[in-house]
Amino acid sequence: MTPSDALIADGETERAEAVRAELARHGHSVRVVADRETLLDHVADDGIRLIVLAPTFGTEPVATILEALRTLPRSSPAVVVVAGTREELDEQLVREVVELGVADVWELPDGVTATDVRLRLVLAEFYARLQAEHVRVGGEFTILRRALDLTGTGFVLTDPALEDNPIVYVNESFCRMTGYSPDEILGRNCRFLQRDVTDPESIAIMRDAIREHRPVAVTLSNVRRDGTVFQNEVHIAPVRDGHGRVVRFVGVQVDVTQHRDGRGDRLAMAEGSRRLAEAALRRTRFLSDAGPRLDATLDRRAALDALALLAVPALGTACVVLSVDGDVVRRDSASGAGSAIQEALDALPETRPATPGDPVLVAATGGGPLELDGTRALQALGATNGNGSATLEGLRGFAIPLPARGRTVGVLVILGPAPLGGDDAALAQDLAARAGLAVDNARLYEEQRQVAEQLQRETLPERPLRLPRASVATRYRAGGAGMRVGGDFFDAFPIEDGATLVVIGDVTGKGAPAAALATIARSTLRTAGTYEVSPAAILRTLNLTLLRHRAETSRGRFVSVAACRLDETPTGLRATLCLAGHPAPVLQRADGTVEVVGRGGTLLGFAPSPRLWEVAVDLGPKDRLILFTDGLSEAIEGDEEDRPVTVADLVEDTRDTSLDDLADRLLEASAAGRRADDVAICVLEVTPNRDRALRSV
Amino acid sequence: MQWTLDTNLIDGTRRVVPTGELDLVTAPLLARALVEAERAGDGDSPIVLDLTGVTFMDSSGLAAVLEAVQRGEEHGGPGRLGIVPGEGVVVRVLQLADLMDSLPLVAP
Repeated sequence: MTPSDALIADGETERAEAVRAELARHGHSVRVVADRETLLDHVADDGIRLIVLAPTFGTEPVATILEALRTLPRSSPAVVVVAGTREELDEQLVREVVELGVADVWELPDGVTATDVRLRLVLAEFYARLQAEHVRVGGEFTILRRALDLTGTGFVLTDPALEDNPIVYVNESFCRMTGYSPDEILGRNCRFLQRDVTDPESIAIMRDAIREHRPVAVTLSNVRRDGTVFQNEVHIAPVRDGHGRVVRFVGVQVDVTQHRDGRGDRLAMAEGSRRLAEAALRRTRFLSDAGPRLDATLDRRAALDALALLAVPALGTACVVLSVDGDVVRRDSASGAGSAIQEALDALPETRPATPGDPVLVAATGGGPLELDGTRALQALGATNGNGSATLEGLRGFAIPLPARGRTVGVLVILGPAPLGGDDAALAQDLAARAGLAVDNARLYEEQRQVAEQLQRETLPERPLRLPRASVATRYRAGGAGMRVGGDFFDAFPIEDGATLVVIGDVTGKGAPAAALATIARSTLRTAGTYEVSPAAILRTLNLTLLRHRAETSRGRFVSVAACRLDETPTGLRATLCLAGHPAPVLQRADGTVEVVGRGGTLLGFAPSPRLWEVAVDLGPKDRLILFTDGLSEAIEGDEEDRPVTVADLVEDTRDTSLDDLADRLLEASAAGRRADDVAICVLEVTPNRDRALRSV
Repeated sequence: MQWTLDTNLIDGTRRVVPTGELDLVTAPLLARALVEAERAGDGDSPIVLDLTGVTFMDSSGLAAVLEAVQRGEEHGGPGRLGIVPGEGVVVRVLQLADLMDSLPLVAP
């Protein structure tokens, strides 16, 4: 097992799982701890860089935990984040934890499941922000921060969401430059450095830029804690999240007092600092922009588009993504600044054979980033005379492999009039690393989705159910959003003696394994029906199959089923019901009376000889039988004690409702519960006996 | 209701005590805790699964419990695992599954 570098301490498992998944996606090895002792045991582990705490953990408030963390010796200082819902994060608590040195507070949406897309987006955004601001999280950022701290460049972050846009992060250099301690700086607006000596015009320029969310650079006369005046060259830029909202302002301060005094070495140092600071600022802004955009993408096309959008014009005039398939080079996306370049790119061949010494091939096969001169750049693009290469002539290129999980999923070529400089080259490689993963994630997601959808199709009948002498309405919904695939199933098929068997069931678990088990259950029931005629005997066959699977895989497989044999009678249908750990169906008579039918039997897959009972009930014209899975009963019976509603209650007074409307109403009721479980509903109604009707006329 | 999962060793008996909702998300946590309890120590101490504090149990939760019972029967011999069903939801689920008399239920 690899040692963990991140800890999550949260008793809310759904949330802990979501955060864990997000951190894992960013390459963290995560340990989730469920109690205080385990947390304190592992906090001191080597290499823990990030700790995510719930606002309350067990019975203890987070502040107590934070105090305890402080007293522990730690090999490397980890970034601590508090993550909770708005309700949990009241103002008092936020202030308290920030004072205790928490790096960030993540406000998460309430009442979501671990796989909720909304939660994923929010987490991706917070993580990007953490990377952009709290420089200790990734290796790259450590260097950035050290550079900032050493060069005597002040660095602050302010949060415009809080009143008066206060400083929420400050580095040591800023403290040294101003003479204030972090405690005195955090929570205040930057203007506390201003005095009468400060030029009102510069202040106005700065204030307008902040209001309009524009970057700005001004030089101000500021006052240190000891009253001395210094010339502060301030660069301010907004940091946007993936939705374009300004979430922070970055302020970089360079003390240029000496510069104005005209001392050469100081000038050079200040210049150097400023260049570094500017590069850092640009990088911070760029990456905080790129992260969420790429991470939120689960579609290959969109991932490539996002990449192009981020690279042009920030890094070059054009950006092309190519992939290598055998000896063919394919152009996956191309984006240019301006229509002339875009047209020239679009005119290039979509696929071309690899050429000798092909720069794309070299970059893709371990050649690393390559600088391409004009000729090689055209070669990489497959540009020849006559396909619009004239416009692209003279552009230089930088080819970077897109890495993902130890493979190369493509090659990013950035084109521009000049070679990519050191900072930009580093940025381009950062971007490539992220884009590679995004492209690969999209591929994996697509594969999983196809498999899951294929399985899901197998759990349900291909055609609408047809029953003798009965109309039928079925509803099915897989719980949750996105990838979830359900373990509920239903079917109707003729059995050995010509009667019809209707089955509805629920297998334990979710996702592809559950869907696979549901498929097994359904096909076993169908097979059993070719030689058995009694519902109980058919269910016993499934029970044996499940027990055999258990013996082979040593994993429990449990299935609840309601099986209903239908025989035509002179007056309608005779239903012979057999329940195995399944909620009893509801019978609604033509006159509106409602009753629950069947006798509960043993869940399948556990006991070698389950108790199974057959109960027969005669159905007349217009009588309705409602079969469902516990996704419906659990949703409406719910947890609220003052709402003891059953499916039978729900069916009362629906006699005038059409069969379809009744099915819809039940499906809606199942969605109203706060749990999004799978649900399957099958409602049948005996059709009036036409012969009899004619005779009675 | 917050989910908690405690494991205590009292007079040689390992007590696994989940509280809160036992569902798709928490069931794997309980399953893991039970496997760990089975392997802990010499691997033969009695285990009590106390479900008194469980406020909701779905089929995933039931599966975690049943798997532990099956493992107990196959490896630990009878009597090693006892289940305290508490009142209400857990009993309701066990009744629906018709397993009340097939499981090694014990009093708290």
